[in-house]
Amino acid sequence: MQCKGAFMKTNVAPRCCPGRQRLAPAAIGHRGRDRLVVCASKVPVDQLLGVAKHAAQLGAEVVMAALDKPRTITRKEGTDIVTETDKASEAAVVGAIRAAFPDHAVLGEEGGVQGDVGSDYLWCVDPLDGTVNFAHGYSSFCVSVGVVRHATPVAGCVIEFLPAPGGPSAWSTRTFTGARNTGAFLDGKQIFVSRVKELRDAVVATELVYYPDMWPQLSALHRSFTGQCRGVRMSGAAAANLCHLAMGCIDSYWQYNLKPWDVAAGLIILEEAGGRATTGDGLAYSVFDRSLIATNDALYDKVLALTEPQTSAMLSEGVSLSPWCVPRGYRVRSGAQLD
Amino acid sequence: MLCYQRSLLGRGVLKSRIRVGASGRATLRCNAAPVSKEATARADHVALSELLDVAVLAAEKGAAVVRESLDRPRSISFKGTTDLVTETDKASEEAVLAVLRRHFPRHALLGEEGGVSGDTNSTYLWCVDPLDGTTNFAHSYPAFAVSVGVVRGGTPVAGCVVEFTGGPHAWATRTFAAHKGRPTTCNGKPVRVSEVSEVRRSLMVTGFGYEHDEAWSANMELFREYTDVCQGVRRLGAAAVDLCHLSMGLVDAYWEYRLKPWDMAAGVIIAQEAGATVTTMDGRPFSVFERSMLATNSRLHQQMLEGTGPKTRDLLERGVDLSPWLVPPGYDSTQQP
Repeated sequence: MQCKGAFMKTNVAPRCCPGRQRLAPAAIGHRGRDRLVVCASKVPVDQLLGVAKHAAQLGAEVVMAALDKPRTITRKEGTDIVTETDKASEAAVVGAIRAAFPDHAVLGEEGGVQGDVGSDYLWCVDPLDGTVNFAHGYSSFCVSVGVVRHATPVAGCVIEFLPAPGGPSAWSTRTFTGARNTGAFLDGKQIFVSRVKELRDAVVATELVYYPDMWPQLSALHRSFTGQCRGVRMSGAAAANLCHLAMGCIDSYWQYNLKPWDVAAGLIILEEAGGRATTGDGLAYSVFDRSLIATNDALYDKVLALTEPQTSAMLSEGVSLSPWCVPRGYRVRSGAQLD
Repeated sequence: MLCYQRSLLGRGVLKSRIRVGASGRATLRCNAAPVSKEATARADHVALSELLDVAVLAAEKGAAVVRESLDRPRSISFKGTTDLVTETDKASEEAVLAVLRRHFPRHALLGEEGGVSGDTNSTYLWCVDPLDGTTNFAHSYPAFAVSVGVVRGGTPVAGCVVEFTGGPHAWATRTFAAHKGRPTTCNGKPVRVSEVSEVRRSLMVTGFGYEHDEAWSANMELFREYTDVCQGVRRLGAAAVDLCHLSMGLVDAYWEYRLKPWDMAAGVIIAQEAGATVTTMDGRPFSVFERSMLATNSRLHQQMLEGTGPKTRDLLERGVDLSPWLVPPGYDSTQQP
């Protein structure tokens, strides 16, 4: 079953990734003999990053080739083309990952789970983040390839498509990368979050999707942010939003019901750029969580002050924000950032 | 000559450019010099192509100022950056107005920064936004533009928008140009609105002002209704940019309450000559002095009016003022082009 993009209305976990998985507490006593079969060794982050970049580049080539096709095709076939591009990009990306790490697990938006779910590593792949934007030629959209260890992003690459000089249909790409403790980079230059300290100076991104059971709180949040901030932007691609935050073009980003492949790469890039990410009510965030606030360092408390009451209100109204999209059999352990 | 025009403007949008008095009412600063009506009538009537050539020249001069500011190193303190932005707005506007005044000393000019100048007896009014999407510019967020349009009465007849897109280390500009009867070009190549005819397949864009009043709430309801049925509703914060995106088929519909004449003048003619239909949100003829705007790829217009029309009429019934505003004193906004 296809896991639909982040902004589809459904907030039910897709069949390939059963929801309601509890995050097991850090399994201190479980190291050693009963875990020796698979993935006992840590993979160096630069190796993970190298594969993420290579895989993302292959996906980006597929997307670029699709963009270059003449746009004489009607909208009816337009949807088909998009789906083909998603699938083709994912095949290229996943192929590269599996060739490099056949014993890792891979979760792709289109193709579901592959590889060994017993691994400590889960690759989260969005072959075309911002699918609707791509379909309309609207900036921007990305290929996003991230890898988490248990639930913690450790390396990731996002290749973003932007309008290029030369004409209405010219596109170029730029590449964001990040890996644990080695910094975040854009086309080789190190990037950092902004230093905006006050909401009134901040540009905040979100994507407002009409979830009926959450709409009163989403609407109230939108009102608070537009009332207090310099501007609110909704440009339609989660991975791009996280990267724009990492490079300081925006100052905060909040979003509900994102999927692991939307955020895995963007999160490590953001954190390495000095940003922070938690759930909307201030708890430690994993890529399987359903509320996200991501900020530069200085604005975190002020953003949390706005999102916490609304997130709590959602929970008390019975909205489920518990972890989802955890591949069946993949062991997620919270508090496992450091070995 | 009494130069003050009473109108209500949302807080925060224009900052120091248009003075908001203690009563909360806004006034256009007016530097109009009285000129006889006869002299003006003789000077009027300019070929559309000439209007467009000058609009393009002026917009490119403004864009050069903006481009130069983009490459300037940014100071770290935000206070410094805010000052930098205001300077860029003003410098861009000076560059644009200098071109317009040199070519058309007898026309009326309306700039976001400097208010009204020139001869308001003229049948031509230039509406200039030297930096539409100022906030985006300040954050290096790619959605800002220089917009130079000219109207007769309230109707845009020629316009040029230079859009900045891409991003830091990857800036690109797209120059949109059109006049009545001349199809829109982007960087010299013809562009056209999309052919999407169903709301469920469409991508839309809107904007929200800063006042959290009934119009804001009405727009949130419209946003909710449309985001539920179409492919998405975007928000970028720069009207001229949104209208250019409509003209090249990236989005299929755009609506917003309470845009200003300089936000819309160039973008509307650019959209129309690319095949768009532009009316008020309740389906009445468009003028740059109207306080609602619905611009679509034409195929979607009737369907969109089914949503925006009732919402807008409801606002009017509840006493929200959407009547024409920001008409320079002495300028005849009702004449037909």
